[in-house]
Amino acid sequence: MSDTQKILVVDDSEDHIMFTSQILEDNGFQYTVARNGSEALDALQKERPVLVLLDILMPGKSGLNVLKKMREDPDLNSIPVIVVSGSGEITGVDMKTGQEEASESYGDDVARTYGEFIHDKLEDFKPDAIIGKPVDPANLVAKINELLP
Amino acid sequence: MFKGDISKIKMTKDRRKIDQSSRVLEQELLGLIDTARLIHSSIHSLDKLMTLIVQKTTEILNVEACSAVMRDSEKKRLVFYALTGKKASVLSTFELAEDEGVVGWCITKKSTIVTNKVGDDPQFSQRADKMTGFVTRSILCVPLLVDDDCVGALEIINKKNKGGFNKRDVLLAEGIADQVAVAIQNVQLSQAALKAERRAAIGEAVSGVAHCLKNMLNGLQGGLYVLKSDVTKATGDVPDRGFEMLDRNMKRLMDLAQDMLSCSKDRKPEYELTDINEIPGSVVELMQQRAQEQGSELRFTPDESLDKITVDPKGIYRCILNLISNALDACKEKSGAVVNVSTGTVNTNEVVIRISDQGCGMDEATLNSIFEPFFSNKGPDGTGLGLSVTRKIVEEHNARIEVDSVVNEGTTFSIYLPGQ
Repeated sequence: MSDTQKILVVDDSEDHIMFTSQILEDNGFQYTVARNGSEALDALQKERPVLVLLDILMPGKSGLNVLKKMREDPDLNSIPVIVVSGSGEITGVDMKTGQEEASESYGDDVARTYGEFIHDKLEDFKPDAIIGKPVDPANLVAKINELLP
Repeated sequence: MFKGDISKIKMTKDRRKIDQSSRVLEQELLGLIDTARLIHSSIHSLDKLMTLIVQKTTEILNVEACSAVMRDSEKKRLVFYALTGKKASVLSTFELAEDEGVVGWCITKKSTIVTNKVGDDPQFSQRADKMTGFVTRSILCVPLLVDDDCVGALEIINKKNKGGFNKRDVLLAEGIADQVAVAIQNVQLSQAALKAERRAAIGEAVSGVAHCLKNMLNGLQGGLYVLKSDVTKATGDVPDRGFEMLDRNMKRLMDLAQDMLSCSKDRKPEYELTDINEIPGSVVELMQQRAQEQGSELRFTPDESLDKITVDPKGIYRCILNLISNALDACKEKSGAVVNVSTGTVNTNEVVIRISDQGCGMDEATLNSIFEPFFSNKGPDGTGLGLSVTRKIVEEHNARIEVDSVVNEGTTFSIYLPGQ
């Protein structure tokens, strides 16, 4: 991986950004950070990262929106995405928050609970890998190495 | 005396008779209304209600003694629940076999029985009279029927007037019994509803706390990683001992959060066709080291002929992990104790997973509480949720879990999963 090739870390939690940054640094990866969906879309255009670590539940534009835009854009479609998210979002369990955001972005296409909705959408948009929080550093590094071009 | 006078006297006598009869009828009616009132007023305490009903019945029917006899279906005994009469206190611990005596006959046959000469009745059991010195002359027994299930009977003893029990007494007693049965059903229903409500509330609270706990643990884990990385860079050395302690306790916290989430409703089972032997197989492999460290022996005997069945493998894994972990804990104090894990089929179509240990075993009181949330005998090592989670997952599979235990000899848990 050359100096100009960066991994984009998208997460709204400062704690998680610090944790992930440390893992990436320790393993010799370059990275850049976006703290919400809109920042992530900007960074995708400007920085052209080689891989994205994407959180799902974020204020404003969610990770799902970012993933959807990436999958629809031929220039961004080939960038590998690892969804790094809380287990509730991934397994589709009952979650009471976020319903509004989902109905705003996806109209009637909103499942019974937001957790299930995300679960279904993740199946539609097919991220290259999904890692649940808490992140196991060794697992994350292995997945990154596997997916990097 | 003149003829007219005689007829006058007769008329007065008749009127007196009618007046007396209507007074009795009025008393009985008022009594019945009273019992109805009682039943609707003290719905949450069956004990109190029964005592009052039995007292009222004694009064209305004008008898020497009355008792509510309830069936204890587990012990297969009849228990005297509430009593009136001179010998009430002596009888409060008295029990009968399920079909013993006139009351046993009434409960077994689910029908009213009247005996005005108990000496002639072959069903009459003299045990109670012999014990108390009471002399029973007549008995009226009416069954307490809840949804066609006979939960007990009202046993009414010795009508005070000479004629013994008549048809009206039977009707009255049946009227009271019907109301009592409704009250019992109401109490049972309200208790079940209360329990379900309590469970749901606990589930919601537990799941909320668990989500928060998990989020904070994510942060703690990240912080620990960053700290470890910084310390290593600064000193060129990793101070393992402290980090190991932190790691170990964070893992325990994470286990607790996971148990709490699995225990509350927030878990969606994912079913797939599974080779059931693989699950206990991998748990046994995982726990082998722990078994050796504490000097126990962990064996696995799979039934290789089992067909694949549809289960939520992660859920069943969690159940087996909990049960084997408990079995090893139970064997800690007994050097060389064996934990046997096996699979097999029973009743032609059921798959059974058995975890049997030679550990400390459990007494009856413990056995009655093990599936309750937050019950634990393990002190700081237990979350009190393991078996609660296990039962929940088993129930999600329409399966059942059974436990046999003998103090100081060991415990066997069996999970019966429906086959294909």
